[in-house]
Order: sequence, then structure tokens, then C-alpha cells
Amino acid sequence: MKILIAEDDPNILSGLSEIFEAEGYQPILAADGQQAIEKFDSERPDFVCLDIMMPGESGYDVCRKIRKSDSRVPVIFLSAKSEEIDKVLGLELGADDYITKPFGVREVIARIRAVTRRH
Amino acid sequence: MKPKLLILFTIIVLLPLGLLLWLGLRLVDYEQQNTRQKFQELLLAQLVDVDETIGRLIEQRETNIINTTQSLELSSLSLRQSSRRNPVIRQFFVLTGNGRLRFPDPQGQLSDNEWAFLQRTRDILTEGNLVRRDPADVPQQQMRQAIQQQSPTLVRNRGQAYVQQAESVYTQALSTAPTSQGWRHWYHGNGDNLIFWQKTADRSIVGAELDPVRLLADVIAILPQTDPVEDIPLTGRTVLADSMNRPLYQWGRYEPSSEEQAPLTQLGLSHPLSGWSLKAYLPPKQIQSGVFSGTINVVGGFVVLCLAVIGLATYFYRESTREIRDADQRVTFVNQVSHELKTPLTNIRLYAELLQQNPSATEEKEKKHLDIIVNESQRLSRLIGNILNFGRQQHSQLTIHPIRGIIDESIRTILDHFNEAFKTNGIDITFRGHAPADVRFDHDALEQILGNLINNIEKYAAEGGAMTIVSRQTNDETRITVRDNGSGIPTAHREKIFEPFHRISNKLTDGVAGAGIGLALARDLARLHGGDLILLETRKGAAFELKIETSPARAVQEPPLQGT
Repeated sequence: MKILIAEDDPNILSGLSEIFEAEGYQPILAADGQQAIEKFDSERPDFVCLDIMMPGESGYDVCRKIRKSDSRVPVIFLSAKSEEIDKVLGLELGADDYITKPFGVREVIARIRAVTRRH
Repeated sequence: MKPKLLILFTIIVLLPLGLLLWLGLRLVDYEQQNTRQKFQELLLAQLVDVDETIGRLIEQRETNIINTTQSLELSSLSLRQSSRRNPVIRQFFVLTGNGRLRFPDPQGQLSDNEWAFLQRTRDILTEGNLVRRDPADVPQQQMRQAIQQQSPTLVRNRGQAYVQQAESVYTQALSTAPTSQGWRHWYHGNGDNLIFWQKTADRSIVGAELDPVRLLADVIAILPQTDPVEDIPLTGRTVLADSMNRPLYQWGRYEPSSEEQAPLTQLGLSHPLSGWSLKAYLPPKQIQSGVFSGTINVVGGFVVLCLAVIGLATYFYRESTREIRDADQRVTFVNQVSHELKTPLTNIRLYAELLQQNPSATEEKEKKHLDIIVNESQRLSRLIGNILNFGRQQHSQLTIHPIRGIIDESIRTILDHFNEAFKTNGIDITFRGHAPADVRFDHDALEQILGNLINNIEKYAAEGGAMTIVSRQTNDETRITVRDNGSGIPTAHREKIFEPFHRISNKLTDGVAGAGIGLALARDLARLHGGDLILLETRKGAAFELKIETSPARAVQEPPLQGT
């Protein structure tokens, strides 16, 4: 199962990659929004994790574009933005869940599993 | 400015201002009218005076004729002699009760004067014609008495009121006046002529024609001189005109500019010279002198008021927008700071949990994870240091504490913190240190300034792939330049980047996080340290030069270490 991770902080990116690998996913890494869209188109991942604040295209933009071409793939936001309005905006854009930073490893895995189960 | 605000501004400010201007101009206009009216009243009072003077002259004539005729036996001889002797009278005459002219007798022998008199008076010397109940023909003395009896205050209250009320009193006087004597005015030849008549006991009429030339000469004699020697307050011009509106006499220094100029005020003379009129002129300048400055005052005051209101409005508008901007910046700042803090925190928790949950990990991997945790903790403390210093700076409590040290060593330590992150980002670090001296400087401040500059390169100029740091030193000054190969700083932002909260792109979702205080703080610290932080002109990338004051350590006695 391919999982696309878009995150501009390299440490968080590699940390997440490590977690997902340990869980048996195949991580696809993107350092910014533009890369995320390109890799989504080329790799057709089964799951998408998006940071919101990234240089160039923000996570919101990426989510909007993904939803235009594919309305079924699960999308989760991982963001430091913890205001209610940010979460509402993310979910309204078509995301399935919203996890605020700093997050626990187990929480991320549990939520990804939950979203996968529903699909 | 929004259209709504503009409309509101118009209603609240411009409308009242317009109204004020209108009222001001109305006031000036009113003042002008008022001044004019005051002058008119003043001049009218003067004219009434003149009228009264002339009236008294006529009265004298009246008395003169009455006295003369009373002492006369009404024979042709004595009348003829009297006519010749009395300089003010041109001709006496006697009408019999049945309207026949007894003297001068048209059938008798006539002197030239008498013949001329008959020619002049051909149309009026019948009883019906002469004794008319005409307002103009009431004897002067009677009328004056009637006026004074009925309204003693009138004579004192001169001006328009006098004229108006005099007329009504005059009409009343007429109705009560006995028709035993009176004046008759007629126009003949080129001038006005006057006859005073009185009925005698046998119902015949004795009358006298005034000598018009003598009368005019006497009138002129009692009027002011044409060019008065003494200064009078109103330098105007007064004209006495006859019933054909031809000027008979005029006085006053002012020369009305043209024939068409209307007199400021005019007054018809009282009976029996009611055909004559007095006209008073004043130079327009004299009337408008106050008015002009009044207009200037109103318009000037209005302009000042407008400027004041506009200034005040601009001030308040600026203030309010500044407050809104400040509030905006604070909100953005708080959001950015919390975001900034969460990234290293996320890393620390993530890698700590990975270590915790993955006992099977290799030693190399564990070391890598621990390195990340250490680096991220340093990043976190740098951020917290920034925020704390920023708080101090906001309260002007930022201070510098120089201690001994070597600049190049400090720079190496700082670079060590970034080694990992730069390796991950693919940025090559080049350091050329030429500042090996033992000097005194604030290590924390240097770390904070360079940390912020390097951190910016990591965040904004990673794509350039290189960072060069060069240090140079003179006796008591150290310069450090930090260069990158990134996209550089737009010209419009060159100075603004040093302002607190300023970010080249301020959108929170724009990706790279930051609170916009790093450079502001770095420059403040540099200046506190006796130097400065400037952005150098570069063709590619960005280059900052940091200059700080670094006095040699030997020159100053090292203070005993304190637990600070």
C-alpha cells in the first residue's frame, strides 16, 4: 500500500517515513506541494498525508487538486495549525482526518488505520 | 479608502463645512448690507439736516412776506415800491375775491417786470389754481408746527423714519390747516418758482413771488462749502438737484466715478421745494473696506478649518489603520511563533517515540535519531531565546554582556549546530575565519545573530546549495559576512526586512514559517554591541555583513566570573 507524505521539514519527513515503513506501508516522499502533486499523479498512492504550511503550494492547494482528479483516496492533514477554523477548512476541502502537531506515533498510526478501514 | 467611508466622510465632514462656508458668506453679505444701510441712515440724517436748514430759510421768507404785506396798504404804488425794495421778492400781487388780478393790473400801465410776471404766472394766477388743497401748498410754518406737535420725537429721530412719518403727519396737518395762506410752486422757464399767498379779511388774496436766483443763492450760502477746509469724517459728495434733476449745487470731496452711479441715498426736499432733491454719494471703497477683509477672514478661516479637519481625519484614519495593522501583526506573530515552536517539538517527540518503540534499531540509526533530537532541541532553545529577547527588546530591556572569547571558535560552534540540517538540505558550508584574537564579546548575542542569519538561509535559500561565512578582524572591531546563493531579497524589501513582523511573504499558508522577528532582533543586538547588521549589494543571493565592537581581552581586566 503506497502512502504519499508531503512535509517540508526533512526530519519530520524521514521520521514519518520510518514509522510507515515499520507499519508495512510503502512511503513516497515529497518535500513541498508541487512535488506532492507530481508524485500523486505519477505514483497513484493509496493514502495521502499532507502538511499545510509548505513552500509554494500549500497543503490546502494540494488537497483541492487531488480531490479534483480523485474523490476517493483518503487524505489526512498533519499540521501545526491547531485552530478550529484550520481543521474545519481542511475537512471541508475533502480531507478525512486532521492531526495536529506535535503528534504521537501511535496516534498517527491508529488514525491512518481507522481511515483505511472506512474506505 | 472604502466608498462607504468616503460617503460617511462627506456627510459628516464636508456637509457641515459647506454649510459653514455658506453661512459665513451669508454673514459677510449681511454685514455688507448692514454697513450699507448704516451709511445710508447716516447720510439720510445729514440730508434731513440740510432739508431742515433749507426749510428754515423758506420759513424766514414766509415770515418776511407776511410781515411785509401786513405793514403794506395794498395800493399799487406801495406794492410796486415794495417789490423793488425787497431783494428776496420779485413781485407782489393782489387777487380780488372774484378772482380778478387787481395788482399788477393787466389793463393798467405795466412795468417790464410786471409784464414778465404776468407772462410767467398766466396759468396759475386764478384763485382756483392758486389755492389748491395740495399737500405741497401748506405753509411751511404750519406744517412744521403740526409735525412737532403731533410727534415731538420725530424731529429727533432722523433718517428714514422721519421721512416716512413726516409724510403721514403732513397729510394730517393738511386736512386741519386753514386754507387762508400757502405756497404755490410752479415750473417756468428754466427753473422753479415759488409764490406765497394769503387771504385777507375781504377775501382777496395777497401774494408774493420769490426771486428764484436770490433764493438759490441764499440756499447755497447756508449749505456747506464745496471743498470744505476742515476734515469731515465722511468724504462723500452731496448734490442738490432741481425738479428737472439738474444739479444746482454740490459739495464734498468725492467725485462720483460716472454719471450712472446711483446715489447711496437720496431725499426729496420738504414742501414747498418738494421738486428738489438731495443725493448723497460715497466712495464704494469706503463702504466695502470692512466687507472685503470680512470675506478674506471667512474664506481664510474656512480654509484653515478645512485643513484642520482633513489633518485630524487623516491622523485618526492613520491611527486606526495602524492599530488594525498592529493587531493583525500580533495575531500573525502568535500564530507563527506557535507554529515555529511546534515543528522542533514534533521532531523531538517523533524521534523519542521511535527510539522508545523500536528497540531493535541499529546503533547507527539510534545515533542519528538522538542527533536529530539534540539538534531540534537546540533549534527550540534558539527560538525561545529569540522570543524572549524580542520580549525584552519590546520593553527596552535587551542588554549585552561581553566576556572573553575567540570569534572564530564561536562561529565554528554555531556552525556545528547546523551541520546535520544543512547536510540534509544539501547546503555546502564554507567558513574562512580570520578572527582568531582573544577579544571580549557577548557569545549569546553572536550566536543569536548568526543563528538567525543561517536559519534564514536554511529556510529561504536552501536551493542555492551554498553558504559562505567570512570573518575579519581589526583592533577593536570584527566583521562577519554571511552569503548564500539563493533567490536573494527583492529591492522593495531591502530595508523592510529589518522591521519587526515584516516578512517578504506574509501569508500563513505560504509555506515557510517564521514570525518575522529574527532579522529585527539580530540588527538590534548588533547595534547594542556597538556595530550594525546590513544587507550588502549582491548580484546573486543575499549577503549580510555583521559588524560588532570587540575590544581586545588583554586591554581590560577580566571581571571575576559571576553566576549569571
